[in-house]
Amino acid sequence: MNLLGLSWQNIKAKPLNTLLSLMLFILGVGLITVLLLTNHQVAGKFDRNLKGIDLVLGAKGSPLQLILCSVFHIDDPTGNIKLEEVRPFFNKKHPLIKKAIPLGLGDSYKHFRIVGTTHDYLDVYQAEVGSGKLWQQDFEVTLGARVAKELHLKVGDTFVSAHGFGAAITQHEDHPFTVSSILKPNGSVLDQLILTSVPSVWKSHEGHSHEEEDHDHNHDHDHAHDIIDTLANATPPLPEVVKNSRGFFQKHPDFEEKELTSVLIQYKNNTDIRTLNMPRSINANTQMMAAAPAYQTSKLFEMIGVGEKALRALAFLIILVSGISIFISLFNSLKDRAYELALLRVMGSSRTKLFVLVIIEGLLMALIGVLLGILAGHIGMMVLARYMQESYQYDFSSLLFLKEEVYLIVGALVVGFVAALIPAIRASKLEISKTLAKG
Amino acid sequence: MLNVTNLQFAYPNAKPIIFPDFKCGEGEKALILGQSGCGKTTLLHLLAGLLHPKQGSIQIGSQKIEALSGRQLDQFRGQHIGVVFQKPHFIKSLKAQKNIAIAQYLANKKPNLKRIQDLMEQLGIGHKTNANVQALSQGEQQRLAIARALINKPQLILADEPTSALDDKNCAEVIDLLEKQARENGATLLVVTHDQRLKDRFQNQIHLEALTTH
Repeated sequence: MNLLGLSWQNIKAKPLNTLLSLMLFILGVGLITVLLLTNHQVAGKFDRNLKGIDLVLGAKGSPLQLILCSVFHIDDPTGNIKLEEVRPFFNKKHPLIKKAIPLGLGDSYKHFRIVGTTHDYLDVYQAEVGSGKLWQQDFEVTLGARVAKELHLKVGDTFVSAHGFGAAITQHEDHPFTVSSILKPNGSVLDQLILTSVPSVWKSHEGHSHEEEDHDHNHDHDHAHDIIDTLANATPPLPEVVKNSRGFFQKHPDFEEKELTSVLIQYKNNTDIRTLNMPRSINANTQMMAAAPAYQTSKLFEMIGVGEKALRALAFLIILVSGISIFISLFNSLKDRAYELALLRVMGSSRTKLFVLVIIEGLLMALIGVLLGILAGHIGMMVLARYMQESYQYDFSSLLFLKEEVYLIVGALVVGFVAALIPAIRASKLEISKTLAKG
Repeated sequence: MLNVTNLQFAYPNAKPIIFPDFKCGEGEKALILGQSGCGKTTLLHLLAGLLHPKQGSIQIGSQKIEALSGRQLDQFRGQHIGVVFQKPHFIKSLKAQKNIAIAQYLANKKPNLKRIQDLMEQLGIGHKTNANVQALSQGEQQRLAIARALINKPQLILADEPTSALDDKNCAEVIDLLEKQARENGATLLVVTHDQRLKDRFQNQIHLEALTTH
């Protein structure tokens, strides 16, 4: 039996006294933990995904939406842009652009987006192939690790895509995709994408519109066959665009009416003044919009930041109140326990020991509160992660521990100490004789 | 062993109380009698070092306790003085045995559960080791309080009205136990009381009168 044991027994003996303080602590700390975890992971994911993409070209609209759609694959596209318009950006000899990567969106399979692009897109995130071989021809797809895992797809499997990003409204049944490879988990947005060639996306949509037009026609008619026919008749031969973005620079009659959702651009030199002027010039002189992911994301975080700051302030306020509640509960318990404290002095306890006893009680309450709070925060994160996965296909972990949580524990102990300070001083100054005489 | 000389105490804004000089040898017992309000409890608190005398000296063994600093006095009290109160109070959050153990801890003695158990056996509450203190009967509580006062083998046992809340049977038992334990531990026993039942049992009696300076 020592002071720590006695403090613990005192807290245990009157759980109701400490319940309110504990609940407030759990609420405040839990809220902060969720904020910390979400913030850390969202920032981490955003950073990971926008690294290597300096500029996004797309249809005019909201620049933030364009970024959210083309870089993070959360929002819907702003519209389409004519391939003819962006053709110059694919020029190998462009003085400012190191790489331009086309994106064609519009279809999905079981909530996972199908992205028509080139192999260059994988280089942006240093993706590695886990099994199989990257798509080599149209209607072959490469799956992100999470897509394969969740949909239980293997190399060689086939599936039919759906038009749009939500629940399947129309299915492109005449153009089944074949899984040619699966990527290793990469930590980037690629994990949740289905990648294929741009022409695959074009063709499945041609089939789609065709189907709508020929609504009353014979459904057994083989649309794919039609397209293959058209392609066969096309002259000159179609440039190689299945794997390589550079192919889009070439002029080809088949490209004339074609569209892309957006183009991701890597600069050669970030500090070149011409580079810095390029977005403005695109926005002013073309039908397209140029948006910088880094700038848009930091703007977004600023906007969310206000709400996040308010929430954080609220959480700290709750912790403050829980500190006050610890203070009150200790202060009240001193009144009930005055005789016990006097007894401890009779048994040989010094003033310092009584001081320490009450301080330990405050610290213990705060410690229990903060530990349960962090636990609650992680459980909350687990629930939130599931929700966010469903809505955005983004992966969030609840089993991640941040160094900020250590600060949180230290901070809580400070709160516990300060809350216990005045009661502890009072306990140490207790007049033994008078207290005993009162009985 | 216990030597009180020229002892005076004053509450704030009140006339000082003058106590008679008295001595008590090792292993001896004495009764301090007096009407309520004459300073019996004050004397006991002075002897226990819970109050500081205005003047005079209290010597316990070879130690003049007024010479000790606050912390030293706390330590001395824990190790050498056992106190039994009229109404036994305990640390409610602790079980019976732990209430004794905490006295060992506070006196900086090594925890000795066997001694606690032995003592509780001797006092007839050996089966109450893990009992809730509030669930004990009055007599059991007073025995537990005696066990607590005795656990550190004090030189001096001070008992403040230890029997006045008890019926005759328990009164006799408790005072028997106190005397027996004091004798076995070689401790000086000082009982402060106005309980007339105890008068015949103590030869050494100190009468306090409502003494104040005139």
